[in-house]
Amino acid sequence: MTIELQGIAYAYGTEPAVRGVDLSLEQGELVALLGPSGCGKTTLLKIIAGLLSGAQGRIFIDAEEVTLRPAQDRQAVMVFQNYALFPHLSVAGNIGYGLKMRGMGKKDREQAVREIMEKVELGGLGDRKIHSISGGQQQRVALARALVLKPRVLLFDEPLSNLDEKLRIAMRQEIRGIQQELGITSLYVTHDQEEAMAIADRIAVMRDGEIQQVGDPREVYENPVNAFVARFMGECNFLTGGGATLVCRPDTLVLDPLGDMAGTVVASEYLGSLVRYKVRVGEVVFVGETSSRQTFNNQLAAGEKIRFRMDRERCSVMGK
Amino acid sequence: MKNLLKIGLMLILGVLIIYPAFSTLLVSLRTDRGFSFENYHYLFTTQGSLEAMGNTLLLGVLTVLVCGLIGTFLAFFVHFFDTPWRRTLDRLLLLPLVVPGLVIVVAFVQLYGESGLVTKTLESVFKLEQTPYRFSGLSGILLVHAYTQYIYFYMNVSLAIKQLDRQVIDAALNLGASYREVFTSVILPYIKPALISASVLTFMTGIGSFSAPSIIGGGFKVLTTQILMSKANMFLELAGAQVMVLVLFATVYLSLGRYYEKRVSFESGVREPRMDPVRIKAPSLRVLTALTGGALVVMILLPVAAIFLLSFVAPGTWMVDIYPRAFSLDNYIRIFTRSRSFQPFANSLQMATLAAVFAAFIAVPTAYITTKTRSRTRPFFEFAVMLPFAMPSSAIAINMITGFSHVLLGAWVLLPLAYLVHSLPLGVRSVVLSYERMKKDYTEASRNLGAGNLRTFTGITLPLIAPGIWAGILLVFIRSLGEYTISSFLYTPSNRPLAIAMVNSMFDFEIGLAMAYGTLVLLVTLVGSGLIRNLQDITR
Repeated sequence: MTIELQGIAYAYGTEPAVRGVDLSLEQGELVALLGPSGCGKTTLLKIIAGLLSGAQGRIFIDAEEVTLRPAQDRQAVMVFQNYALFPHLSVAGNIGYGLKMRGMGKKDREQAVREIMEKVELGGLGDRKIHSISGGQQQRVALARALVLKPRVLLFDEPLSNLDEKLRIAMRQEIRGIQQELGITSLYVTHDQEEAMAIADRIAVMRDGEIQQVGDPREVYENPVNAFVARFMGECNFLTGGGATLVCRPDTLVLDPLGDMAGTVVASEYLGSLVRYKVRVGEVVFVGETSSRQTFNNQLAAGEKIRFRMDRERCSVMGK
Repeated sequence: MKNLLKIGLMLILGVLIIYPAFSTLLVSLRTDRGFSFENYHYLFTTQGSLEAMGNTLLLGVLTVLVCGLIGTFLAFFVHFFDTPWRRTLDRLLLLPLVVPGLVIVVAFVQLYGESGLVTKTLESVFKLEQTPYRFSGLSGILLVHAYTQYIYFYMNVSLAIKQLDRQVIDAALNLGASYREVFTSVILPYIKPALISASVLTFMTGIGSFSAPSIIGGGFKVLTTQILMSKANMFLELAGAQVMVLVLFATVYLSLGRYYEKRVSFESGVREPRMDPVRIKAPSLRVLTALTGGALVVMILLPVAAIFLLSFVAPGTWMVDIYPRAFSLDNYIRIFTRSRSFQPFANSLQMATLAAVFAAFIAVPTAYITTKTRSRTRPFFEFAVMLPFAMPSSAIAINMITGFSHVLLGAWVLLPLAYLVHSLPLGVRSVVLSYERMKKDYTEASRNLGAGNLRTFTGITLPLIAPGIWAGILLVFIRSLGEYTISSFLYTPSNRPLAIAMVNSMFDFEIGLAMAYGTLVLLVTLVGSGLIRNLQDITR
């Protein structure tokens, strides 16, 4: 299954939320829609699911136009941010809901629900009420409810934002594993660039309703098209000169007693294997990162004078 | 299909609510010589009528003042301080919301009336020649109002107290404000909107009050009792004009109140952490609060207990003694075995059920339209269901007469229809609350999973708002069961509701029977309100 979006635009009243988005997803691909809150990514997702009417543009799923199809016939199944699990139904009732709507008989349905529950490790919780299971389990129910339909397309709306960090990392690996195993074309909304990089085949960075850049994680991180994308993907330094702007990630700063640059450390954070520091050179503050082991006895304490050089080979020219 | 439903609903609301109100306006302008303001002219130039209007406003204002003091004190007493038995007190204090006003009036007559239990006790203990006080007229009405209508101040201020921001208070103290300054500069602004909106509700129930003025008012004439007089004497045009004046009083105060409420309202920032009750440390104060709390419990329960006990007084035994001596189950046996006595009870059950079920059928789609759609017709629905809220019960009763007397004169259905109109705003409110609490995600998820609109509504929406619907049905039911004002205007000998039977028996000196009716109303009401509370907890 492929997804193709052509010129999608939408406004809440007079407030534009999505402005002319074009995007295509290949079969089995997982694309992360990344952007700050309020950039229109969830709106875009709801338009694809058919939950917002009145959008401009055209939507194709597997080369078939679904722009005007009602939500219940799109088979673009969504995993909601707050899960939207029906509180009056049991775990199994929630997971089987979509199958029931599709007219599947009780026996087959129970069978399918049981299988998917095994897959997402919810075995034995079928009769439990939604509010009696943990947040992580609710997340699995939401996932199972979508997966059991064997959907053509999966839409994830920040599915992990309500979980704590450890669980988030475990779940994203699990989601990625199942998605790859079943080969479901997926669009995954998140505002967490690390999550996007970890899970996605490609990342589409959004800002103010427009897609700024689409590319595989490495490409977007290392060759951002503009300062917004560069900053959103992580800490960076901008070097201007000769009509071009160089984007240098913190690891391109190399501590070197013979380096051509000298400055004063403004602040530093010890992060275990890494030390991240800010160094002032004249008016400019650079962000650097170095392996903890390389600092030796060097504390990189605030006020300390250091020399370093910039590994320009590993910087990229912005917009190129 | 959708539009057909909507048009049908608009027709029902139009015919039941808007048309009758409009017809009262027309009737009030009708005179022997065509349309004119003659009826109004008469009202504003006749001594007795001016007095009634003045009394009505006086009663409204005094009710607001008295109830404002009592309700606000009670709210702080129960919710601001860690008063002993706070939960029990809170539940008891909310009773007047569901206990019919008539039952309280009747209980008060038995306690504080000329031959009431408390009055007689005081007389015999202190060997008095005559009654120590007169429980009638303005002071009598005010006492009843103080007892029953503090509820809006109590509820609103309690809510406002719960939303007080602990950190803001701490900040004020930290910046050097004294306790008094904290109260005037922080707490008062927080509860001011609540005070204003409560005063609106209290004023409206104060000027619309009927059972207290009609039973214990004596010579104190107010508009509501005058309207019944006009109606009974077949001066329907005059009654119409009086209704319009009453509604005018209500709407003027309502709009003023809303205006000031808006001016003093503000968005409070952080909601958490919630305000913990303030601990009272001084032992003497703790004893005092405990005593006050205990006294409150006794005072609230006394009328209820009186009704319950007196319902067992054996018929014909309690004539000259101060206290009844012979008790039996005869009154109840009579109600459940003699069809003439059982009739009002069965009749009221039937009418209340009809009103409640019909209200649900109107409330569910109306609440849906006003909360979940942006239809152009939405303002119509909002206006139609809020209109009865601005109209006192007596006005609603007159509306039904002017609107339908030519087709439904004396028809049984007129009374349940009037009950329905009377309680519809509350019924709709209950459903609206559940719609608002229901997250949009649920219906979106359902559609996303392949359910159509109808299946989403029956499979997801309806089960989720069901508690709100049931609460609405019960609310309309218990309010209709013991309803007195509308009943006095619209009942016919063949259609006697419970409240009328109760008052009639009291005036026939069949106190035990009257109290047995009262106990039945109370029982159903208390069970019903208990259920409503549970239902509301489910939706939360």
